[in-house]
Amino acid sequence: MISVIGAYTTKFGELWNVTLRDLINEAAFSAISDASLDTKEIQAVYLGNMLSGMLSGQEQLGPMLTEELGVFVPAIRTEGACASGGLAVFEAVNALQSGKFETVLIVGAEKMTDRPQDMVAMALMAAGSDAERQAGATFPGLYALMARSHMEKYQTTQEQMAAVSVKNHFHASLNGKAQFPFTITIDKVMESGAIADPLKLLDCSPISDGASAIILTTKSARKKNIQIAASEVSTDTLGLAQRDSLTELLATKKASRSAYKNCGIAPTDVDVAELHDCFTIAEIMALEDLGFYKKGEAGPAILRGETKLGSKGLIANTSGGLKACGHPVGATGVKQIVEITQQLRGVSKAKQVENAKVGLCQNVGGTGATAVVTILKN
Amino acid sequence: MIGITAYGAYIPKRRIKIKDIALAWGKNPADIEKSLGLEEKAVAASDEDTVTLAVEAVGQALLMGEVNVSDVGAIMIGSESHPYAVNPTSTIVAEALGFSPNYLAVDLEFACKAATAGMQAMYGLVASKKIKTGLVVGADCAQAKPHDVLEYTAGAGAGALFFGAKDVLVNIIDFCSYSSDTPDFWRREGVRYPSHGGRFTGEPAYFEHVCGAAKLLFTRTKSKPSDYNYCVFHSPNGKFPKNAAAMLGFTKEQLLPGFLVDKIGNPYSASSLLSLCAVLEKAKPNEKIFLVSYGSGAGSDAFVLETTKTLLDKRKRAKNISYYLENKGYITYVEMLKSEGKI
Amino acid sequence: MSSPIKAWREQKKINKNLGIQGKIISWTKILVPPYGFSSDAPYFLAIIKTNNNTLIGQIVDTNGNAPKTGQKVETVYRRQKKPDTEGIIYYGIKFRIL
Repeated sequence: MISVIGAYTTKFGELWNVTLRDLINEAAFSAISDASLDTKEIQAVYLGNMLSGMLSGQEQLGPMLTEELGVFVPAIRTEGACASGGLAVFEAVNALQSGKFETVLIVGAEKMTDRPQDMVAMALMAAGSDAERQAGATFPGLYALMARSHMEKYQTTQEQMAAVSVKNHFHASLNGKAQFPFTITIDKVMESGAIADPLKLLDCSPISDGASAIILTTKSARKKNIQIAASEVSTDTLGLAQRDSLTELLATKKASRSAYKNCGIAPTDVDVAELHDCFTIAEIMALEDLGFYKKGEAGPAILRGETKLGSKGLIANTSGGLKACGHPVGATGVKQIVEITQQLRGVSKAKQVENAKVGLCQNVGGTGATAVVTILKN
Repeated sequence: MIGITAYGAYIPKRRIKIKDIALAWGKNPADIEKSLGLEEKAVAASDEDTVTLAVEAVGQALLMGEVNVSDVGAIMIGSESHPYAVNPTSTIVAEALGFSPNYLAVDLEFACKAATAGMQAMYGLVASKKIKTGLVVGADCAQAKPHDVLEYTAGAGAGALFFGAKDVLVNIIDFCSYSSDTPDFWRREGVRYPSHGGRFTGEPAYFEHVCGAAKLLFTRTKSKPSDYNYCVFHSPNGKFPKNAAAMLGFTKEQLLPGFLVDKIGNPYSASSLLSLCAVLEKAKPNEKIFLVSYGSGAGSDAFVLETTKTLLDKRKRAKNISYYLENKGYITYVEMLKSEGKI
Repeated sequence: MSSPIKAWREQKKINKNLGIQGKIISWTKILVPPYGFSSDAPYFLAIIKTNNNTLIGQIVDTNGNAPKTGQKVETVYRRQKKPDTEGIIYYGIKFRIL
């Protein structure tokens, strides 16, 4: 049994004063403290990050972390674009299951605000295919292609997509760590400037700095066990044009099916979920791909107020999601685990989902080339 | 007989009205339109250049001639806006169209007459039986300094001609050239926009060489203007070709079928070739065409051409000049400056 | 600086995709371009299905008019992103509505 005994996230946002190393340090030591652990008990570290090379000229982040810790244990850096954090968790889970280690630290971290926006947009396109880069595609552009398809096939509307952003901002207003802790309205989203038609500024997650960390252990002598019940990964084509469908992420479907099967949990059992809403349409597709709603029905449901704190059924993105909590790409996958861990512990305060027993995290790389689904229960 | 076995044209879709340029500079549009003799010109998109224009035109010529690309023994591209100062345009175009490596590639430059010089050279290669099929292209994406008079006429376009000895649409009956050192229009290495001698570009430059070459060819072929059905003159603006035609004794009826400058501006090295394509769209078999190009610096290449029966069927296979004249969309002066990278 | 070797490799592949037709599967208008494409923006990006392939690329010569899903297009040869002052020029395939 793999337990989450430490969980911490830094504030997400434009953190001008801190470096990548500072973020990694804060997340790591705070998670260790949350676990009441001695640093020397960490036997290996996993670090998820995508852009440190392109934006900061720095690779070899594993030793950066062990150097901060002062314990030079095995260190693995995982990269899967925006799923880098989720992949770090997956690797750690596998190492623990193999018995190689008993207690490991996982950090997801990203520093994105030192460079101009158009350079960051170009760097993020490393998550796509060469053909996409040559064509001048951006991530908003690629998700806009999916949004248009979803709108034409299922009559999903821009208002329904806007409702995702509104809901997540509401949740973020209750989250002290969020980048945008304030509410917005559907009108505000609809009036925001077009980035890649039909996606507008407030349909898109921001550029952020931040780090999150968790500690996993198989040592049974730990109370308050929040368990990792399943951790699964699936992949798909790098380029969007090569996918079978533009209206779903097959990698999410496959990873979640494996996860549900391996831990005997069904979508209806999930109380709270952190979904990869890099763009509003992504959350709509995630709700459908994860089996929470039928194809074409998630949009209207969100507009009706479903998945929002206080409503019945599954609550999604209490952290504020990528849109309102922020999206330091390598950190997001780990932040999701932190959020669900806190929900299952019952310590989420104003954003607590009553009686949360089963939680799910969905972390995606690029337009769906990688998907990580993690299920936790208490 | 040796001649043109297929031809292709390309004119970019975008047009700007001369009056929109004039208004930006506080000029009276009617004055400009009258003195330069044109209403609008073609403007390349920001992702077009001499190479891409050439690829379009050659693509059309390939359709018309059903040419096997591995038979092409030489390609000569004339332009004054080659994308690289050093790196051949001809090989990039040939590669895009799938030519085999067994060809001679030549990049030519001589202001607006680089391609017609290529026509004469290609004739020689075919006549000597060194090659079976040769390709000559004139393509330009002309740029002018803002507020300069050239801004009203500098255009973009491409014309492509295949040469051979079989299935000829247009026979090359004879040709000659007339050249001298006359610096009427030039651009120094590393300088972005060309300079010109104002009114010096007229009588001592354009007219001296166009008429010089024409008269030389009349003498050689023992012919006179009335022996021809059509005349084509390089058109730097709407006035010069009309004056040249009149000076030499050609009529408006002979000139107008190939007269494009008032609608597309001056596509520099493509000018004579596109005008020839316009004539060939309408010409009947066994009709004679008198073509004189002009390149600043200066020189003129003159040709006597005659159409054959083969023209009638083949010309239906590719996009013709009328297609490009109709397929247009207007842009603003700001859009023009944006796509030329000036703002 | 862009790689001339990469350009050389890519350019050899262009010919087989030139002069073919396809259909628009989905499209978007990019108003905030990535680095290197600012002089082109705004532009239309689309996924195109041809007989034996699916491609992604810009739609050209639209005069600002939005394309529609299902429209027929043909492939054309154009410059790709704006070359740097000293770098090699990349050419590639874009799409033109028929």
